[in-house]
Amino acid sequence: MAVLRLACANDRQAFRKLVTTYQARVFSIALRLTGQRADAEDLTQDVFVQLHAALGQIADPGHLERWLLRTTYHRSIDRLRQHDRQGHKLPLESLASAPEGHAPESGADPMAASRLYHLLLQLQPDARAVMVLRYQEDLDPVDIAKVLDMPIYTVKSHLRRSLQWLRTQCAGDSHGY
Amino acid sequence: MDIELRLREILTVQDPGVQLTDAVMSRVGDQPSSEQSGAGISRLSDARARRRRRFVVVGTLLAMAAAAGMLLVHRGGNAPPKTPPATATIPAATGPDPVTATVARAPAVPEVTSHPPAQEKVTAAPSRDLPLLPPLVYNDPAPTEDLVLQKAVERHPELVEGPEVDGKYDMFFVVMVMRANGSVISSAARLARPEEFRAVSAELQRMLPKDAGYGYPPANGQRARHTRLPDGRSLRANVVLNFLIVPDGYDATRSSVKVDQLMRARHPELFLPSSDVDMNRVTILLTGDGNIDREKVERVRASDRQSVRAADIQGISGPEGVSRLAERLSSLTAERIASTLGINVDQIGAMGNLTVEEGSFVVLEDANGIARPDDQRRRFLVVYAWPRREGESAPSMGQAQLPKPFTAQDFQQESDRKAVELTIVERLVPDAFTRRNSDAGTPVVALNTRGEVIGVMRVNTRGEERVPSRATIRELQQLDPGFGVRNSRFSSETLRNKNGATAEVTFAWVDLPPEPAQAK
Repeated sequence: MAVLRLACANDRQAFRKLVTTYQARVFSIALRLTGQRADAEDLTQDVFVQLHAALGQIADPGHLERWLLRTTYHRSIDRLRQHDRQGHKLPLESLASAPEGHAPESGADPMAASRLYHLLLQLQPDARAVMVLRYQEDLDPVDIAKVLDMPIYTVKSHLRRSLQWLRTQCAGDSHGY
Repeated sequence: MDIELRLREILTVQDPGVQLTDAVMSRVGDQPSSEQSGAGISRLSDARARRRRRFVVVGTLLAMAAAAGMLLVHRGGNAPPKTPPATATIPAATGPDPVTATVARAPAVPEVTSHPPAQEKVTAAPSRDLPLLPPLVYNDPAPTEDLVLQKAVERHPELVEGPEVDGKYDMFFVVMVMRANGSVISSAARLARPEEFRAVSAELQRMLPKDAGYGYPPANGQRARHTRLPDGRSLRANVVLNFLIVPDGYDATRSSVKVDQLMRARHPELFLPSSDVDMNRVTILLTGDGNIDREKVERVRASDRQSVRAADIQGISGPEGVSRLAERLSSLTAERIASTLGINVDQIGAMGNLTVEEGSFVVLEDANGIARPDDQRRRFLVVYAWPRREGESAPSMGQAQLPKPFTAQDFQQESDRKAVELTIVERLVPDAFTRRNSDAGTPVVALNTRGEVIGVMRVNTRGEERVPSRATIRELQQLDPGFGVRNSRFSSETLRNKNGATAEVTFAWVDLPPEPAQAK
């Protein structure tokens, strides 16, 4: 809270602290939504620049967190739409390898992890955002609904259907081992 | 592994690095400091050092001591720190809940930062003489898997010989049942396409004995295709290796696998859908050479299929109750088998329960996205007994003994660790015994791989008891974004002080990034 107050008072070190604190989460969400590292880096910068301009409207750390998540989501969706208009396709093939920087737990199956990541990127953007907020950010459905401005039932429906689809797709991977 | 757990594993947070921070600050009108911009190219080790410095604040006096070079000796690991240690506590800068923590930095690097002093509360840290608490060492499964794979290739050369397999996702499923001396009891290998995984895996899983004792669960490993073996050959396809190292005394001639094969072939008419409220139960006494001596088939309620009722074992609990429970289960099961088959309990040696199953359970989704469970499993239950052999004094469930109990030495080690944990917590988080975690956050002690305390914090896990929680990882990354938290080991401990008060504390051993060559 103190850091946020100082940042609002135009303390640059405090704002830098906010950036270092949240940039990994913002970047990771953008990466999973856009599927491209370069886009994710651009978006992360844009989000924090926008935050700098909007600091006066941020009431508390909880508000800040929701603001960052919501802005990252909307900007990522905008970027995907922009790509659609320009005829770009998500380069799924290039993302079929293990997620960048991911160090699988000992005993984890790297092939299964890679396949699961690939499948996750095939979900529709809204559904993917719900999954990322649930399993990367550990938000519960109520919080996800607030961040994404979605009805709670839609969030739950996305979660249920996405999990079912992933389970079906991964059925062969997970059985028996 | 459950899909949700796997999602949590792959959706880890990735830090884009200090360059992105600098880029943002540049765009909002803040030029990087001369130290940061330096020669224009910033070395990674410098970046790490800068990140560490952001979280460390101590007084000028200590900075002077650092300047005197005393710290360099400590960082080199050649001698213990000579400077009086200090701990800086800073309020949590993030998190949805204000309670999310004070972060106490252990006294590693006394340096000056530009944090406003108002945020910091420097306190004396009596941690120089804290005992070390190194991480517990677990067996690395990789060497065992390599040895098992080597044996598998000897018995199934098709894993490495022949043309390369076309399908990228095709897999060899391998099952190995072995003894610790490397002798193979049974093995099988099957190449399967993705649509065959479920059936092939289930078929091969049936080759793993169920009666080798709870201390010997099956293990598995995976190797990607093209993996080179020590002899220079490469795997033709991805390999899933299921194996079981059975205890020395395990008698393969009495394996549950033999019973499964025998009964599956003998009674195909007994399979009933697993969703039925009834199921067939066959109680058998085998002969010494593995044929049927006596048997009785009953139709029972699936809910009553257990050979022992819960009421019969009520009141037996706790660690000391494990062996008593095993004895009770064995004697009750033997009595039931004897009465069912009209034999004497003295005739019974090893016993077991086995569900003979076929088919599979899947969840399908129709064109409208509606999920539909499709349970095609069929099963029946076998309660079996082998005739008692010379030297067997009583009926026993399964062949192998229960897992080896802790030795006195194990208890001693456990006790020592508890004492060290208690010392650390009483010194650094004394209010862990007085303030509830739900109010103040869960105490987390971060240690390096040498067992030295490097930080203490309170983390609000928002009601989650899971360790490590996302909140824990985030707070550790705040302590130092360079922490290799994903490679860390966590343990949650309940500690009791001399007054009888308890504290729930999480210990986290983190892999620190390499130390920079020089400390400023």
